[in-house]
Amino acid sequence: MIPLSAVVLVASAVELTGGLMLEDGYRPGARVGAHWALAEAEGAARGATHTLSGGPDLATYVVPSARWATLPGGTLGYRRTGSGGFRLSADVGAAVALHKYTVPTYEVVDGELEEVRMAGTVRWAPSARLGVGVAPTEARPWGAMFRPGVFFETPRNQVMAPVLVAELAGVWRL
Amino acid sequence: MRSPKLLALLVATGCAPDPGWIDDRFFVRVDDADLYVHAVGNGMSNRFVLFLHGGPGGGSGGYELSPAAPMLHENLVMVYLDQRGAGASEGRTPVEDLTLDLLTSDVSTVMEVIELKYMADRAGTPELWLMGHSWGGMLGPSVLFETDAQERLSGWIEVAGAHDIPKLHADSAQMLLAEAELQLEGNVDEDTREAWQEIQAVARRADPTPRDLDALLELNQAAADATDLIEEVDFQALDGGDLMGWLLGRSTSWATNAAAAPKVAYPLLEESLDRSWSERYRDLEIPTLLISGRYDFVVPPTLAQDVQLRIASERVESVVFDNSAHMPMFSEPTAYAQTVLDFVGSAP
Repeated sequence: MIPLSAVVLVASAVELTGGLMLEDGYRPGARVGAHWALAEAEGAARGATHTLSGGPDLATYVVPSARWATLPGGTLGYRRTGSGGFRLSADVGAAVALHKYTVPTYEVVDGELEEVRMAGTVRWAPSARLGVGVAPTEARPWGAMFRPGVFFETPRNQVMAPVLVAELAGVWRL
Repeated sequence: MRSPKLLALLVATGCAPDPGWIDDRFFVRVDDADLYVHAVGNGMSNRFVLFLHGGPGGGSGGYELSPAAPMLHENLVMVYLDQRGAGASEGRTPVEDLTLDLLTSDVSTVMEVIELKYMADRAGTPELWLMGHSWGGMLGPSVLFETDAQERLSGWIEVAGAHDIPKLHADSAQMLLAEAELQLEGNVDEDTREAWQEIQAVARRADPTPRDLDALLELNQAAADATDLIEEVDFQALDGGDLMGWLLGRSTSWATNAAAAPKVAYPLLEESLDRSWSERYRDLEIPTLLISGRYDFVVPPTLAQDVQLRIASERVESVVFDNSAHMPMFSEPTAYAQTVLDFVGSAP
């Protein structure tokens, strides 16, 4: 295992990602993150590499008629990258899900209707995602990935319910 | 304050906002839950209909997709509530703590919010009606008989209301057996014959009252399967434009709904296996409309007939839709909407 302080200094092992994220297939969102290579190995196939990486990320999506979700957290991932840059990836993660309602919230207090300011909820959200695309190479500092994924949130009564997302992300190697 | 330029533009282009139109989405905070509400329709009508969805656990979103909805919205205000644990409602109530009493208290609070937000300072005589479909026909009577709702409501509209689970179970089995026999006597193809025979087998082994939740759900599934085999039942959907509008305005994720709905439904149904409000209808004094579908094997029309015999109210109307099953708002939308509007006095 490479110490975190060491990998931070190795610019080639750091990747930034950012892109469009669609909740439920069509509602708008975005996700940005950074990944450090924690361990790397040559694969059996010529030129292929296997990388264990991890880092922080920030996701956000909005359900315009109900809530805006912001999810700061982190992911741990595995990447298999071929010599031509073709990459498969799998990530698991955890985040704090901050949900701010985008519509008013009312409550009845002593027979009067009062609006609750800054209403919303805080919960935690484990996540998982798969990815397919092209990774940055020696010749090209950028790549692009398609990453379907799922957040598990607890919007109702402690039931872990899935929120499906699809990401189209750019990847840059620093 | 609205921009004068924007208003001028809207007027010039013939798109002036209708001052009487209501399209509000909001949460109602109750204890440890935030209940999602969508009020939409013609505020000038002064008639508000609080809608209790089926399921339980399903949410109200699908009903707004019904082809009957636009006609209803043009002539009154539909107030769609996502019950605790359903749709876009949020909360931290453990599933095992979900009870009919808790949902009843929620509905009563939402009624209070509607009264304060829309009715308190309104000119004329605004009216609040309560309407329940399927499971909403179990929750609605609970609100009517366990709270002061009858003093606050102008009337009750029960659509395929599941107000008596033991009777629902027994009548559903009988109805399925009768229909299966009729269908098997006819000239049906092999696949259809096989399907009716399976339905018949499930109905035959059904006890007079559901012994457990699995038994209720098994018969419920057979009832849904039978509905699919009835050619007389049509099911209309919205056209593409309306569908896109609904999709963009939708407040829940389908995956979230699909995962959460059964977990919410089971404890509520389990609790209600032997629950019946039938006798209590003798205490119902407000105007009541009973709507059912002739081919509704899920909640047979005999439940509405039973209410009609017991109810204390002087104004009771019962309508059976001949080409409908459990969802007349999708099968005969125009007649359905017209029936509701006629009853509440909002017909165009």
